[in-house]
Amino acid sequence: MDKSYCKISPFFFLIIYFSFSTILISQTIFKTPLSPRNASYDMDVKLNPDTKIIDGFETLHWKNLSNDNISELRFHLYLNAFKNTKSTFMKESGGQLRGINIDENETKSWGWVDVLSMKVQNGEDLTNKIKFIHPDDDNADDQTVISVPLAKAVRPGETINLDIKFKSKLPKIFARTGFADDYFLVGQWFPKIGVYEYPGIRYATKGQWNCHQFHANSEFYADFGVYNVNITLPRKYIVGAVGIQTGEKKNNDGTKTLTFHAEDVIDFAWTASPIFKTAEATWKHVKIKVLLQPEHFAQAKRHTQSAINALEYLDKHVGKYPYPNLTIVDPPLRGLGSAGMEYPTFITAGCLWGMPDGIRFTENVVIHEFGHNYFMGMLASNEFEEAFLDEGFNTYLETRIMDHYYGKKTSFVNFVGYHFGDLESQREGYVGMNNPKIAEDFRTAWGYKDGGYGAITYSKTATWMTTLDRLVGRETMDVIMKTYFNRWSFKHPCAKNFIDIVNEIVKKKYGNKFGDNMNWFFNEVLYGSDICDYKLAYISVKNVNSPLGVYDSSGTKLFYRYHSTNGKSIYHSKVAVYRLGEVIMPVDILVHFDNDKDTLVSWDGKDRTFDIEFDKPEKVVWAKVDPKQKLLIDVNLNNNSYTTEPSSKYRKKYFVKFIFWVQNLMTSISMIF
Amino acid sequence: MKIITSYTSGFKATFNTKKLLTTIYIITFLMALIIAIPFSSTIQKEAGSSMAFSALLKDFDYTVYRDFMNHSAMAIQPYISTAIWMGIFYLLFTIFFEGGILKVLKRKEDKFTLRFFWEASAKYFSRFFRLAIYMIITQVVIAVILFIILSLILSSVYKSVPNESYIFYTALIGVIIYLLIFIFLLVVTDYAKIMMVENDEYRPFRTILRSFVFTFKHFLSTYFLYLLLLIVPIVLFVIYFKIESIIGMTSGWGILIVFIIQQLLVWCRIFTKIWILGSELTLYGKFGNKEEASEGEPVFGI
Repeated sequence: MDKSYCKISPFFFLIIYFSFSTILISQTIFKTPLSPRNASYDMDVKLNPDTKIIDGFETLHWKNLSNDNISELRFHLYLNAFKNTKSTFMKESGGQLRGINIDENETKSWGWVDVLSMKVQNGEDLTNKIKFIHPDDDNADDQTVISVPLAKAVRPGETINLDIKFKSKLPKIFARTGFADDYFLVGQWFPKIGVYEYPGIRYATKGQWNCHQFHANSEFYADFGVYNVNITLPRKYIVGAVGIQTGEKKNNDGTKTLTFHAEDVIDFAWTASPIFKTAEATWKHVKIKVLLQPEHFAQAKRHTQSAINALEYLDKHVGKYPYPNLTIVDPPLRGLGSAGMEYPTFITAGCLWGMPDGIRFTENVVIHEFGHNYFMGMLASNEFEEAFLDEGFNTYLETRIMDHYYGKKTSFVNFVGYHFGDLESQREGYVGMNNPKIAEDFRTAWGYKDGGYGAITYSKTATWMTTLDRLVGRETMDVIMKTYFNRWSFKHPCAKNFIDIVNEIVKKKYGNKFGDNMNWFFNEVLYGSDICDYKLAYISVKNVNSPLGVYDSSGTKLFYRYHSTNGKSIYHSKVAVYRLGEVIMPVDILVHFDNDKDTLVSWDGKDRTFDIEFDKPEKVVWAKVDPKQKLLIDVNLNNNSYTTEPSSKYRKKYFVKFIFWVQNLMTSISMIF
Repeated sequence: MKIITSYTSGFKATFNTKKLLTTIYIITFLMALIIAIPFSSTIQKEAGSSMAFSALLKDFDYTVYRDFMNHSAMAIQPYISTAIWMGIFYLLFTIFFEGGILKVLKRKEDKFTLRFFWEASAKYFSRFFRLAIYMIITQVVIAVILFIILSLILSSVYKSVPNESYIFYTALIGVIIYLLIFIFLLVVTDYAKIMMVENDEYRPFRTILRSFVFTFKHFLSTYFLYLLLLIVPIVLFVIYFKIESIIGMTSGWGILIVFIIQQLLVWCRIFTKIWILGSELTLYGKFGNKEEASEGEPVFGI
């Protein structure tokens, strides 16, 4: 028995090894493709951690889904944005992003990607035909987009297979990608084909490439595909990537090759570090893996729990997350420039050692970045041209998730008595701008010439989406979001597609309550830049014991000096509402009388002023415009109410606090002598 | 032992200066009131008859607060800057009355009169003013030097260590060192003031040097006495915040009770300030007497 075992064992193990490898490599995630999979990549890449250079080889399988014969291909070379100060990205950003500056004087700070060769499999060599183009500006020095003319056009339905050899030099962590010591976050790193838009996709009326340069504000736009990526690097590295790991091979030169496989995704990014500590959790079919800095390991639960919260909420209110896994990367301090970034099934979070539980920055980032899997990942909207469809919609859901799990007034910060919620914070991001009219939401990401991209795209969108939510009701809003997701995932929707769904669902639910359609709403909040501000201007109450004065009656003049209505006084109450902003929204006004009864009055919100008058034995005590705060987009909610009996308690409280504060300020300053 | 006796004797001496304490407290309160009254009127004007601000009575409300600041910050800002200027003015006032305090503490057996206090304050103002200028300049120079050193260290730590806990601890150590030096300079300042009154010194710079030598020579006693006294307001503040959170300022009575506690706390801060001087005066008396013999010897070769 033992002998026979010895005899067969090497052969046996060989069979097992190859069978297992084959199983792993040929492992499929989805039985039926979720997307058109028209831009798939097979890659073999090797990272040199010393030079920070990746030597890569990719085979692109690109299918022409249009009815056009396509004789030109366009590719993104995103890493060239970090090549020098003359790139469009650097010119627009001034060499900084999210407060992190590129170190211009350090050689290793810069990054670039070179296409060494490009050949059609069994066909022409395209290498010498590659040229840089600049579809968005006249910057001849920008090298982030290439055009490759083809001798033989790709016919409708045909797939072209290109072998591309490239070399990528990673920058020192900047704008989401690069290295920090021996930590690597490898994103936007390989030659990536643009999106050929044809009638039926977004606003296209004829076939054309949508392949924009890399801009300071813009993120990305890509087609779906299957990725098989072999990554070779020193054995000591712990690696995470988009998709699932399907193989690992140890090489004789001290390296290892890891194989990753992803389906129906629009991008591929990966990370490597020798010191990651791994935490894992599971939610239904999703395996969550967190790659943490050792000093952050105590905060592993914050990452996994917030990811589970996001999964649970989005699954219930938007749609199913179909992928089997999620990888969360926690960057080191010097790699924080790569924090808060999203890729399909793979996100980067961000936390700091000793961060108190009440400061929910980590939760916020995890939830936000995970949400992108829906809007950037599966819906795959064009982030260059309609960034709000991703960032804004995602921020709207982020606020819902945060407020749901951590409390409306405490979800973002709840620390030493100071607290505020995520939705409050996002609204403030918009209404607190120096100039909230700086730009309309519907514009290209690089079209924000004087700032405001973040506040408008993220915060304003989240605020008007919440306004829409409150106008049509949460239940209807959920139907809208689910319909949008189910109808348009894996298809590149545009704003018009979303508006059509809103019009359809709202009409079905409310008929003409909001008019023929909701276009008026989007004209105000999406296509317009005006502000919304309704004000409860004043309440006046007069005792009107009419009739008074001289009246003609049967040829005689009767003089009424005083007339009592059965001993009861009649009051003429007037409630005046002003529209201070240009935005017009239907709005309710709640009027409260001194008999504790309320009256709700609806107003179309169009006129500049709106007066509500009552002649009743009861006096109006207070009134509120938009009492349920549906119009969160209103830039001043404090002027939405008016009372004839104002309380002075809060004023006394702050008067007393102010005295105490000034006294302590004085005594503290005097301490220095 | 000297620390404890100085501590208790300083307390007793301060306790016997109730009129002085009350005078300073009233001045502090009135100065705060000068800004607080128009501040309150501005709040009333800006808030109008809105009901939104009632939310601030129960708790802090971020949206109400931010909307208010977004639209009324310009109206509020002058009060903040005025309060800071008032603080600087109060510093001048402190410089003025410290001479008076020391004189009152010194002759504690006599009956306190405001006239005596104001006269003593006026007498030492010029000297104390020059002393304050020297010490504030010293504080600023040391703060700047330490800030530069700490920035360089932090920058180096940031580049060389793998995680932020090292940066946090480095910064913490830096801040603690700064605070210890800051307190040391406060102690030096206090004994310089005492020496000026005790020895009727006219030359602040020379007195600072002598005070520095004195404080350094009796470092443990002088420094720990000050730290011991500094704990008092810290403990009181912790108690205050606890009490305020329990009572809350949600009703008229709650506001009134918290207001009284606040004013008691301010009174205690002023009390502590005098207590520190009283204790230091006693301690100086204990050490100073021994040094009488060496008076007249050159200090740093002067």
